[in-house]
Order: sequence, then C-alpha cells, then structure tokens
Amino acid sequence: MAESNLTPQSAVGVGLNLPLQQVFIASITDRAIDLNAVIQQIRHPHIGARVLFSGEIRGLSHGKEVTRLEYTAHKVLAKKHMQQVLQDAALEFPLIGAVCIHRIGMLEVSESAVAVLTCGRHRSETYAANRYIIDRVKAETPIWKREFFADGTSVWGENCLH
Amino acid sequence: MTIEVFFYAQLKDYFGEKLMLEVSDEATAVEIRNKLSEKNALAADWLKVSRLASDDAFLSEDFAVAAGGRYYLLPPSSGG
Repeated sequence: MAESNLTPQSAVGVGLNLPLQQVFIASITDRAIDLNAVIQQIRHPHIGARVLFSGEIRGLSHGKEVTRLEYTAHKVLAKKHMQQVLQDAALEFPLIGAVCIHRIGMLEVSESAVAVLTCGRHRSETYAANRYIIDRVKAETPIWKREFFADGTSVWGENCLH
Repeated sequence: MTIEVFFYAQLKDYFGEKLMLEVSDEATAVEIRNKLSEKNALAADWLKVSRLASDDAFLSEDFAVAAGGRYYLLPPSSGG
C-alpha cells in the first residue's frame, strides 16, 4: 500500500535554547503530491532556509511529445533507501529536517513525481543538502519510470544526470 | 530447488512480472542471472547490471538464496 505523511511536523525544541531533534520523512505515494503541504511540513524557529525541489513530468523528451509517465517501485526498499539517504544527508549537512516524497503510478504532464524539502539554518547547506538528496534518490532508489509518447511508443527511463 | 523471481522495469518486458526458477542448492545472484540469460539472451545486458533483493533488503552477490524464497531483480534506478 502506498503511503504519504503530510502532517506538519515540529522539530522538537520549540524554545530557542532547547536541544533540536531533527525531523526526516521519506514516503512513497500513489496520490498527487501537494507541494504547498510539503513546504510547510517541517516547522522550527531555528529554520532560516527552506528549499523545495519538485521533479515534474516534461511534455517533451527524446524529441517527442510525452503524454504520461508511469512510475513503479519496490516500495519497501524504495522507502528504506530514501530514509537512508535522508539520514546520510543529516550526517553530511547541518539540517534541521528534510522530506522526500516520490510518486508512483500513472502521472500526467506537469505533475510532480518527486519532492524534496530541506530545512536548515542557512541557504548554503540547505541548497546543497537538497541537491545531495535528489541526486542520490534518482540514481539509487529502486524506482523506475516509463515514458509514453503521443506517437504510441514508450521507453523505459534511463538514469538522468541532469 | 525452486525460487520465485519478480521483475521490474525493462526486465518485466522480457520475463513478465514473475517466474519460478529452478536453481542449485548453492545458488547466488550470479547463477540466477546466468539461468535467466539462458532463458532470454536479449535480457543479458540488463541482467548484468541488475541487483538482487529480497522483500526488504538488497542482497550481496554471494548471498545464498533459499528454497521457496521470493527474490527481486532490480535494474538500474530511473526515478525522479
């Protein structure tokens, strides 16, 4: 069963001098990703930078018109791997929290396939952590896409390094 | 012994969603790939770059599979 957790989470330690407990959430969902909900998902008064990345379905690929994309996943492993990537990001960067949500199923052009939210004190590490997470999820998480074109053909996606 | 192998992405086009595979009692990922390549040589290149997994873990190349087990062959990721 696909799942999504979009309940806003407060990093523990609302008082400015209390110790911080970071919040990291990874999920796989078969429902549309609500970017407005994702960006508000982590709250903490120490947050000074918030970066939201949304990977979306392009209407043109391989020089052809795309009609839709289908994503499939080994759901258990995909979620575990995304959690591991978030934990690794927390070791690499001084984050307050991060969220990674990946959509599965059939998606239309312009829909969000993956969203990554990173929250930190400053923009530098918050941008860098976001890039780190999406790069690893695209390259390593067991999720696959198939592009369907207007001419009736389809192709399995290849690992995108852009 | 017999194991159940599930496929994703490109490998599904060659083998369908799953199949029962007869392997030796000491079979590892290497033997599974070889047996599947014998069944469909067109899939050999994808099999070479695919990882073996169980229901909840990636498996090492020398992991010995168990009779009746469910295993998954995972081609390179293309999410995002």
